[in-house]
Amino acid sequence: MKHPNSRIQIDHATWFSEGTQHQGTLFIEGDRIVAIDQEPEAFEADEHIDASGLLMFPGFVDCFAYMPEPGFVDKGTIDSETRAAAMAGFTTVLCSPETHPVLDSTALVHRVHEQAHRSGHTDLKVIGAMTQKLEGQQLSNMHALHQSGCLALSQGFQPFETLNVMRRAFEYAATFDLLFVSVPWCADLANQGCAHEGALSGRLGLNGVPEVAETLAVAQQLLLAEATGLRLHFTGITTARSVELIQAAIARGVDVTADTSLAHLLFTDQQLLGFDSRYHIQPPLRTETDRQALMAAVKAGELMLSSHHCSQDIASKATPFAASEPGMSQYDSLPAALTHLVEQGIDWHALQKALCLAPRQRFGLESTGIQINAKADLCFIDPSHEWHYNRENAASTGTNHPWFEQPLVGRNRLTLKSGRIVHQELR
Amino acid sequence: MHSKPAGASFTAPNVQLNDAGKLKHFLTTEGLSPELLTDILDTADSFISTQNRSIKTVPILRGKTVVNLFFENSTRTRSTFELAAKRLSADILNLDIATSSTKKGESLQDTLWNLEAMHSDMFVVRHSDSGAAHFIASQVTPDIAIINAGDGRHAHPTQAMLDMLTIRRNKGRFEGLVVAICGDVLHSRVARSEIQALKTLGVAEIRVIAPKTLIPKDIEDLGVRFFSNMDEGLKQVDVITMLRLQKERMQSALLPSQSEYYKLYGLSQERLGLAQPDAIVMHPGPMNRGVEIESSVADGAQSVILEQVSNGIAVRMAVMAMAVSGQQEARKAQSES
Repeated sequence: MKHPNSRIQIDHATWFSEGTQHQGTLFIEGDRIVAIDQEPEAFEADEHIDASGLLMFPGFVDCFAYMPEPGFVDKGTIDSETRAAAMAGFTTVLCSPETHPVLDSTALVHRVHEQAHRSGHTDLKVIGAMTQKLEGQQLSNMHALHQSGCLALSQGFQPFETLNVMRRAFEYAATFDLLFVSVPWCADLANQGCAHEGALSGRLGLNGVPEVAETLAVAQQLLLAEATGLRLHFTGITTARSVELIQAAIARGVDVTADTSLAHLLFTDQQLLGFDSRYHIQPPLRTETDRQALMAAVKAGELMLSSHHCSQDIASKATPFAASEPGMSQYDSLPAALTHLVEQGIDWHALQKALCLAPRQRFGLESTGIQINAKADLCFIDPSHEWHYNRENAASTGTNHPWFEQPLVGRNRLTLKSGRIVHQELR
Repeated sequence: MHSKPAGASFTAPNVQLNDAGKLKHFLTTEGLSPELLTDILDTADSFISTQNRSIKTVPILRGKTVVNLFFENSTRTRSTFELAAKRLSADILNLDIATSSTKKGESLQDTLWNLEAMHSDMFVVRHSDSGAAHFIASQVTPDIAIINAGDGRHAHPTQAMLDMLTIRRNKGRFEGLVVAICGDVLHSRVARSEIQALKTLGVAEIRVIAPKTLIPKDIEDLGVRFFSNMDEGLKQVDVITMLRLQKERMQSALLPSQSEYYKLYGLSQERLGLAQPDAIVMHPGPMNRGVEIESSVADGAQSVILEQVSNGIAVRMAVMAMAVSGQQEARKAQSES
């Protein structure tokens, strides 16, 4: 790790800005980009990096990920998972409050932030619990949580006890202009299902989660957000109908944004044939029609992209499908997944917006475009790098991804966080 | 090289076949060829003749160890598997493993690895989770023949095949038959396995009859016709399969009451009259008389319910013999290569 005042010169950099591709040389000093192309006077680089063949992006921001700490250290640590995030190109990660204990107090939030800071791989920002213990009854100290660095609040998959509690929580959050990150999920309608309710779940005899388990929550919360003036962000939406509902709300002026999770762009419920528990995620994989609608919305710049990274230990997945724990470990193969999405027709411009620009704006992070004086949060993807995903090169504790032990194409080769090299495999 | 396509690493049907296309596990009727299903029925037919002799055992599995692994209680199914194994001269070990549905797989895996270390040749598995038999066959003990004795709501292939045998022995064919499956299709692994087998064996039409709350979503995608009106659905059918309705369904807002269900979906003598005059009535058991079926129908001339039970032993003998032989072939092919 380089000390903060080191100077880095990046030659032959390629990046995207305002719809066009640029090439040039970047000069970084301290935590800032100090010049582009024109070398500042008396600039002596401590490090020269040749970025030929790589695509440079502002550091990725993950709108939603699961950290195994506190509470689930057999599934990984904050150190292992933030390291995996940095390797994937993330310089900021927002994590769910659904840990054990739940992240509903400033003390716990400080502890998580401090642990991530000590590891130094990437910025970790807690999404605080909106109600105490996420029980959906008593509001958490939202304002204090915000003061302690929470960029937003969430209930995760946990329901509000009544609609009235939801309304009050929204109103209170709106008082302080706090952002609510919603996982749209009617637990009641989901009925402990583990697969998309459709022809396939019927055929396989798996308990289905109907589409309305999500869309009803989306519709309900859109109306309540509209009524209370809440700033709302849906994370991990999975259905075409949710996209439509959100688009319609935006059109009538509701302050709402949304992201989908990477798995829902890569896979569909058809992958469940064979009962491979690595495809068991929550919310479940949906239909090809849904996947196409999500792809189109990301392509059009209307939907952000989050990882919903969830590292699991081997025992949690070594069971029959329904008994396995949901979740997919996304970080280790993420750059290959992005490369795959580009092959499927989403271009790098759209991915840059979905992974860097839009989340920064929505979550109030410093904008770090490729420009002079911008913070040097950067990652460098080689879209043609061939590698084999295995235990030796995986940073996450969890290898619960269907591509594990497969040949992949596309890899992040370098990550800079505030001008520091936090991941480097170019030499 | 391409970046990894978004495809499954394996598909359900192939797990149960060896490289020569022979059965080495029996997990589901889905994805098997008509020839293979017919082969099972022919083999079962040949065992039926041995069952009428005074000495009923044949030495096909002598020296082999079969383990009955029932994670879910079932005296009846377990007994028929036990009897089938004994009549094939196998050594049989019965393990009743009472587990809650939330019990973690680590122990399932460990249990199986321990039994594998005891040189078992076959596991007959019943489990409350759909896909449990696939999980064991593909990831835990692929070299041991796995016979699925019922996994969650997914499949109960030996029950489906004994039903096929019963149909064939009564009707002599599958072509042209109209088959109705009535009742709680949603929770029924028997119905799913039957639909797949009937489709493969080429019946003319498969109907499912039930209220919408007891039918899986998009059931028509399986190639069946849905009827919510039982009188309509029973018209001109050749085969009727009644499914057991568990009493707890009344408590889960799926149905209002037992009496309303019986009135609308119970198989009475009068309703049976709507089917073909020579229609047969089947039930996988255990029956709830007066809930889904009238006693006089269950015991009547068109009922083949007890014949199903006898055929069950022969079908189980057939798939056990075939799966052990398929495993042996696979091992031989492996050692030669």
